[in-house]
Amino acid sequence: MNLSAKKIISISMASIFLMVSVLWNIFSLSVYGLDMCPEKLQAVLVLKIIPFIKQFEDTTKSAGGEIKIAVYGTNEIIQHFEAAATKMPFKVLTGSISNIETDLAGVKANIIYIPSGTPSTILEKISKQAKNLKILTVTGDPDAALNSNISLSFYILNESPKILINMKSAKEEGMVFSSKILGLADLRNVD
Amino acid sequence: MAHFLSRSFIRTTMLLFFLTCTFLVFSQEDPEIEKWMNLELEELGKIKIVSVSVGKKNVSIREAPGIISLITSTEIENSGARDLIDILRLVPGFDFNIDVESAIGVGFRGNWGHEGKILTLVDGQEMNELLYAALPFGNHFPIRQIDRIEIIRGPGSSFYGQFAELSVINIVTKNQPGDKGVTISADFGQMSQTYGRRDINLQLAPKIKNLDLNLGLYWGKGNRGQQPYTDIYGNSYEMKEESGTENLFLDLGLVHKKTSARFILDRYRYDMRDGFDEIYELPMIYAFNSFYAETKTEFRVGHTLKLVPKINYSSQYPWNSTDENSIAQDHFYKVRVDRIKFSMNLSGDITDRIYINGGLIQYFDRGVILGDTPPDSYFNGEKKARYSANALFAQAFMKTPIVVFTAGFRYDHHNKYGESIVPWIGINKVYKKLYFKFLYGQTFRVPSIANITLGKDIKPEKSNEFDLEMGYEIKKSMILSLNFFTTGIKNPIIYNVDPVTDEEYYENFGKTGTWGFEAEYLIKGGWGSVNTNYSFYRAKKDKLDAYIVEDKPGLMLGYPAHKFTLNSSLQVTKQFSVNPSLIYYSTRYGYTSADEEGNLILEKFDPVFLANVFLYYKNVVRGFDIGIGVYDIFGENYRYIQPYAGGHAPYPGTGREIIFKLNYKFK
Repeated sequence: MNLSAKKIISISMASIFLMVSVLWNIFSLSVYGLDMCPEKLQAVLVLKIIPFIKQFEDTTKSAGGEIKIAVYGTNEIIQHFEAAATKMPFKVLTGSISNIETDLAGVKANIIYIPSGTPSTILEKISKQAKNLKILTVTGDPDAALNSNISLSFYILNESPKILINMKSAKEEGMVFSSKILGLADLRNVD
Repeated sequence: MAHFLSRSFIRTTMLLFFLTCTFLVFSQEDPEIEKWMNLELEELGKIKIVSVSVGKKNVSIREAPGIISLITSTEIENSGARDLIDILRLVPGFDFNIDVESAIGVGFRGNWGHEGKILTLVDGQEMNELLYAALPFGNHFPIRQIDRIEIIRGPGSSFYGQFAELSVINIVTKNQPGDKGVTISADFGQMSQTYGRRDINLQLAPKIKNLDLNLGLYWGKGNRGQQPYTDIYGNSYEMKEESGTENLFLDLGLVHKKTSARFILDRYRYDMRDGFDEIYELPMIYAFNSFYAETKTEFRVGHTLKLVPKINYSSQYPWNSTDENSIAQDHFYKVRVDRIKFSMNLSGDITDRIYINGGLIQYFDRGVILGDTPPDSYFNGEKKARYSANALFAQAFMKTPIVVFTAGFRYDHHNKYGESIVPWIGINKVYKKLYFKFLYGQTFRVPSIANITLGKDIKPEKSNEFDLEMGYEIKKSMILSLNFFTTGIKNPIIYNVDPVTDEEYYENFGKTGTWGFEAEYLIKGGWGSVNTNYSFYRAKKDKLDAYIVEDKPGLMLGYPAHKFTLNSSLQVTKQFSVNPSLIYYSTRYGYTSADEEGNLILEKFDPVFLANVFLYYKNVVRGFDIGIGVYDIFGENYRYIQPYAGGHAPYPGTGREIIFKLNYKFK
């Protein structure tokens, strides 16, 4: 298929025009598209952040203090939480839940982790329930944190991990982050 | 040793590997988690998550489905490296030799990779020129701007396509969003008779509202050597006067949310007098001027998938010689090659255990002969050549309870040479402090524009690649790894000259390849770091005569069987470091002269021991760094040997060079 120079130029021009049109539209939309952080690292970051949340301060400092992390569905991150928890000075219990209405309240979780790929309808349900129960919501999908009102997430920027806090959601869940975390994190939906 | 990697040995190794994997179970003790748990949150925010070679899935080097070397900007700065040659020499398996017409090219594991077998990318742009698929090195590319180099020590065809047959050198510059401030740097190098290099570099990273703008600008001049060059007929010229290089490199990145554009201008030129075999009376200027542009954006598909449409454009003027001396010596050559490429890439997790990455590519190539270029350089008698191709690739990473399984393929259809398909599979396992990687697949190198126009029914050359890597974290920040490889290249694209008609042509001919192993030991601490590695190869049985050393059937021309490197950094104080590096090359062989009948005469080259040291003082005053060092302390005067029987004599390297580096960063 030998194309003449004119055809190549025409196709190129058409494509560039199409691309420019698409870009024009993109600029006017709020597309986040943040790169996800590896689950292993998410588990480490969640546990590292816990002591800097006012609501968990007493638990993490007291001997025998216990933090319960519920994971929605079956996910490999449970193993990562368990591996990382061995290095924490406080006890971390992790488990999987499938029924949002009953399990979340039943296990008396402090934190609910929602894996990436969870449908937005479920995310919204969890978010609503967590706000009632004052449970911290965490997700592996940073876009979902912004779109579905989840408090804590992570993403990769320039190959390094970044903490993302949806301040509006965190406030609704009654979570207060220390100034150290606020200084490190990418804060969104700040009042 | 010759039967070390026989088929039965490979089968036994594979069987043992699978059996081992079967007995291994998922462990809760993960050294990576253990390492991260010992870091403060601020430190965690600075760790680098390495992208694997086959996509943007973020996994560590141990988990990546490939044999990967990562070189960071800190390592580059500390080493005092003068150019990319200094950096890549420290990587297992890599080496440099001379092609023709002063072009220094890269080889890997004993295989000459200069013409289209090794792909070099800068910020995602393919730097190999499209005419012959070559890329000349030597004071080329701004190493000051490099953030990291991810090197796939093995094939990358299924993802990177046409010129990634043996390896991929993926350079990521600091010209990315997130870098702030203005950096100015200057490097000087002085040999005993002439200067080695004079380079200046500027980087800017302003942010205008939501638009990140990153600009890197580099200009450098250098000399490749100061020893006389003597061709195979005994004629000489002084390199100190006629081996100059000049490079202007501009890299501009624009990012707005998830939409980005990049523009790179690379003007590289050097003095050329050595020709193919006999030297020219006058030196000529050889130019490789290239322009690259890219624009891409990103859409979310569902919750986890990303769709990235991208347009790439490149315009190159490779091997151009248009100066007065070129005209005077009937060597005028001006050609332009363009490519426009459209691609669409879809990637992401489709479940929590399966990650996919696939895409469609279409490109159009065009070559145009310009000016008074003589007709014997035309494309089959025509001034223009046009080609097009489509490609489809797909890869999947599947986490099973026992191993991570990866598989992929690439299908290419070219309007001239037809179809080619290359599949590959990989298996990874991280078990406590141990990790294993097994990779097997096919890879290819497609013909370039000149390969096609000068070709005799040319087809893509294909390789079969087998890699097995094992690594062990002896203790925190102390890693030992060992990998075995075997590369068999079928029907390599070979340049030849018809002895009767004197007509030059390309053809697929014979087989070549190597097997061997590489070992690497890395230790890091607050005191500094030491990275040592050893590389060994042997030529395969069905080798091509043009590449092998006569009467030494295990050796390839120009490449030492053994290479040992040491790259270390000793942190004397928080700001001051001493950075010694050593490279040992065992005996090499190459053609140096011709007898009265024109037969090439083989010569043995004694082992070379390149020793370098660099003293680096950071923040002498806030933001100001200074360094001084010596390369080739013992004046070994390494010579680049032509790795095939092409009639070009060894080309002298720089020899001992004192280097001086300054860097200032405004916040």
